[in-house]
Amino acid sequence: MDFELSDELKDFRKMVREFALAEFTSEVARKRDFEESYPDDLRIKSLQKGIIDFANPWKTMVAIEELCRVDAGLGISVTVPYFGAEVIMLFGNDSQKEKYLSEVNRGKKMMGLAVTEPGGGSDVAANKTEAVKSGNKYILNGSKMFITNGQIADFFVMLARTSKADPAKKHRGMSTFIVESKFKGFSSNKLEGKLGVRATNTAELILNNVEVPEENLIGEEGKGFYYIMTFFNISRVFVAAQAIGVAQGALDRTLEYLKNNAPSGEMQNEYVQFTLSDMATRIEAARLLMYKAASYLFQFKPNPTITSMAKGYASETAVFASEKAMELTGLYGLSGDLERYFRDAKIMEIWEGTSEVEKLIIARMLEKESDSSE
Amino acid sequence: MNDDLKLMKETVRDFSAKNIENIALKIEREGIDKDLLKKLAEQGFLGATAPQEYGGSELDGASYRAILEELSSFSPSVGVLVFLYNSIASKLLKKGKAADYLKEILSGESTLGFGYGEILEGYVNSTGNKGSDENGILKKDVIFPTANKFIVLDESGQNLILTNGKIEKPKNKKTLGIRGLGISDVTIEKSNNEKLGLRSDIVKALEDSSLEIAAIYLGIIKGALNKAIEYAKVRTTFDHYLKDYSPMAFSLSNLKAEEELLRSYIYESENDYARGLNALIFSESLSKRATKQALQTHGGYGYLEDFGVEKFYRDAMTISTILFRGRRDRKRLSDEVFGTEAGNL
Repeated sequence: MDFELSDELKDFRKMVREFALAEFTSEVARKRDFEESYPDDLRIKSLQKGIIDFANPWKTMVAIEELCRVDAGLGISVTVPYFGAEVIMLFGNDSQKEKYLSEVNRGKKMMGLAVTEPGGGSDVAANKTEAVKSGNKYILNGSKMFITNGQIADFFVMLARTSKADPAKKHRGMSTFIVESKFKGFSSNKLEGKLGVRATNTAELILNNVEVPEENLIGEEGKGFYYIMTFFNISRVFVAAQAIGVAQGALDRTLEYLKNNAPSGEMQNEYVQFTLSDMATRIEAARLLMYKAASYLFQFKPNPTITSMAKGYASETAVFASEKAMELTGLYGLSGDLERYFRDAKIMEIWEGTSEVEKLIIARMLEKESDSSE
Repeated sequence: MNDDLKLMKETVRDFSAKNIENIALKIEREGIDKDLLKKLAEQGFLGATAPQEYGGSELDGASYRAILEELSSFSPSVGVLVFLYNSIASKLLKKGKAADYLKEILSGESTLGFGYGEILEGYVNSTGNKGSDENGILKKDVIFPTANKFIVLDESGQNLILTNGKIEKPKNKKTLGIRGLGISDVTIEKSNNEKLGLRSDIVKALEDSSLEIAAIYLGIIKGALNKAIEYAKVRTTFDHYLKDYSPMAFSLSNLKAEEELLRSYIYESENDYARGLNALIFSESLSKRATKQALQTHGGYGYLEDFGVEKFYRDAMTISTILFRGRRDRKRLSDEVFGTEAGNL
């Protein structure tokens, strides 16, 4: 057992941190947060600097943490243009990978994942969007909610129902498609007024008789639900990285305040010291859980229990740390950059499966595992 | 709770449902407008406890707290404004031109902002002539920066003055909470000041207002939890209403139980320093837990301002920073509990 990252990863982490500190200035972060506008310039820059390397998942995870540590809105914005790519990588065919993923990898195109529906939330099996086969294409009707990159992505990996829902087994009969935003009948409305991660683009998608060619079906018909659940087992590790970045950044900035801006003696107060220790301990515990989940996953032995633990605990830690940071920094945090961490952190407990869903997964796995253990 | 108090609460609730609920989102985006100020003044809420000669209503403490609770459950910004006017301004603007100005703000004609940062933190947080014209001083972090006049510290850092000022438009920044009032920098005039008293007067006024601040928290708790409870009754997930799931039901009902206990305590306490502190410390913690759970109950929708629940989450944290003074208030409670100086290390 070795708790150290490789030297290569350590150097990479340092490089990403330097990039984030140089590019994610307070001014840029505030502007994007205030305007709710997507930082396309930073997306391109991060690509040019080699911050994003999807061939190496460890690097991706480290990059997400380090970028979100400086600013979650910007950090997520530059790492999310590939969101959903794993579905095509794992289950798509060669021509789909060539046609769609290669352009995303070169930064020429952006993609998104369109699973959640209005009123659906984490209950993916309750989805209503329909795909009806007609000749050599599928006709899609329905809507999608809270879709990241919803207005700016060129195409989406989209989940739709290809056969009527069996009330007892609703997760069956769903399929995944590649749907281009330029297809006729596709439209999107930007969702404004988010509490946090406001640099990211979020939209509602409307599908009105959208014709999708049959070659855009990913994998097999009827297996969409499983593909998406497999994807969530991957993406939850990356959301844990976002959350740990937010938590660590909140701690960084609290320490910076206590050392440089606080009234003297503040750092020696035990209430302050105990709070800092709690923050740091939880962050470290969350990070170790994430490394364990990543270690299983990146060796192609995903462990959903550990993954859900990592995502759930890291999210709670982000909320906890950003709250404590506000309490320790008072006015400084309120009028400075820390309040943004407090707003950004809360989404971690909601997206990619709410904390409640993570707990359900853990409990179900415990039940299952206890059946098979001696 | 006696009938008079019940009636008062009902009156404020009806008023808020009619005049605040429909513009709650607008208040968050654009601030409290003159029209609402006028209506609050007409109802006697704006000067709830102020002397009648200045246009106040001279209500008793419980009625005042009822107003704070009910208004805050619709818009915490409005609750905080009423609090600042009654618990702070009415105690300071007592003589001469200052008293005339109190009349103006209580009638909703004029408005008053507060350089709270430096007043509460106890150091002059202004930047002299830097960045402003020669007659002005830039004051940082002023509550209600669009107001006509301001209570700020003079250059000695010891005296409170009433002065004219002008907002420095914040660049790319909204405040975390109480957006109906806003917090921003203001350039105040060096001349034309009215002396109001000492900095310690305002600190004392605030420390004597623990129950009132607790009443604002209580309103936030109620507003957030009621929204969550209503939502849990109509929203389904995995084929059942949210309310049918035990963690959701237990969590919301436990929080609601704490809210009820807090309410009894707040309305049964009067002019009692220690009970005030108990209520303050408890309500601050409950407001954070309740608003967090209320947002979580709404899932992704809770994260959008349209649903009117995230503002409680922001406001609970903001008010805990500006009115509840964290460690200082915890220390005050410790001193009370131990009957001697405690918790300095």
